[in-house]
Amino acid sequence: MNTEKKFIGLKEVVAIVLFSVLTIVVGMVTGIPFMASPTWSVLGGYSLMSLINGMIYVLMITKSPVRGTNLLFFGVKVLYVLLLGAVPTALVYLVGAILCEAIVWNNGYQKPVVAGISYSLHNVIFGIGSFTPMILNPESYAQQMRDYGLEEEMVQEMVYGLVEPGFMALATLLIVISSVVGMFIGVKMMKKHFQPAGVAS
Amino acid sequence: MKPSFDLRVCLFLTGMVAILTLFMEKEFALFLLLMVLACWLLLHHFVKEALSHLFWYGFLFGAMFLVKDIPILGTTGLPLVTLYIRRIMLSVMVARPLLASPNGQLVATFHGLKFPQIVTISITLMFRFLPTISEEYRQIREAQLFRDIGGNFFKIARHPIRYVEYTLVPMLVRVSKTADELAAAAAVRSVGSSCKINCYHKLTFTVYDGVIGFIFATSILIIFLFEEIYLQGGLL
Repeated sequence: MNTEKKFIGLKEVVAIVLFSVLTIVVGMVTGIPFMASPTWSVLGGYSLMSLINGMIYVLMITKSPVRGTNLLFFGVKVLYVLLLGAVPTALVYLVGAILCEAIVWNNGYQKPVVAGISYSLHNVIFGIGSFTPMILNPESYAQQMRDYGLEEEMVQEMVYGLVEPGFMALATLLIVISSVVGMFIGVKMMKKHFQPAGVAS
Repeated sequence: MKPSFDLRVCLFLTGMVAILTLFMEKEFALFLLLMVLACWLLLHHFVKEALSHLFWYGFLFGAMFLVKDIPILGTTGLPLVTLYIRRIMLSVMVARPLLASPNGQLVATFHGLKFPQIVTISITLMFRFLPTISEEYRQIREAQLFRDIGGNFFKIARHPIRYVEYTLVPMLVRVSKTADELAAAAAVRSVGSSCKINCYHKLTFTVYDGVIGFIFATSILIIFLFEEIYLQGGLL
């Protein structure tokens, strides 16, 4: 591991951006089977995403264990949602990026537990934060659903059900568990595949 | 040939649409906005993209009504998904010229706006790398088929973990190598150095940019105000 550098340089920036884009693609792919239900897209889609992305994250922090990695890792997602027009979501992600970086600021990339906490927080904010426009203005979405002729019970479940504290807690728990398992598998894969292949030391 | 256009106008309109659509609730207002943005795409000679967006917007809008009457699908979140995608489509439409612009012009625009270099590099890499991922995946899939791995849904469902491992490992190795190569290529071009950078593309804000920007910004604002005052106020 590179322990001489303290902050990310050009080489790390390129690697982090590419890995981050890959995690976005994984997020899209894992979300497809669950997209029929907003509840399941959070519970199932984001959990599966956290599990698979754990392997990518471990490789990324092994290649770039320096300050700024987490900030840029989440920062790419901020830019992505900004370009898609989700400004409130981008702001939530930005706060998340700063928090995740703060957790690992003091050489946290070398400590699996600290890195795991940061990665779990990243996924929780990414998963639940993606519904920020709905959380901020649920009535806007609910009104449109009513305009389509959907029953009130269904509207309540689809829109207001997502912002209930109980649901948020359950989603957080599932995402944290899958993040930890994902990182654990990532560490195993490092030893099995990437270190022998010379991709990361 | 597409006319030279200042991408700063596109950036401004993208931000404007992103913020205003957040508060827009009525389908009629969103439809008017769709029409304005289709004109925006046509103005930039994105005829195919404009027609494609109009088709998919209409398809998703129609699918909404079809889906809600189907017994099982109607009770799922698909109606909400179509709504969410259609809103995102509007922002993508306005940002289309930005996404299709050459790397150099994109870099020059962000440089002109005094964006940090890290942001410029990130955005440029993001959009150029997405097609690379699909190409890498296609190659990995071909290699897997040759070794009788995956191929169809049932084969993947029988060994999902094996399939993920056999897909993700070569993908990560390729991404890692690509990152190293790109970093070396960028370093050769002095990207990331602290010296002053001169962009090949010059930014010029012409009268044409000003007029076009003003017309579209005003149109979008009028639609928003029309929605807020008349449609939501119940005057129409």
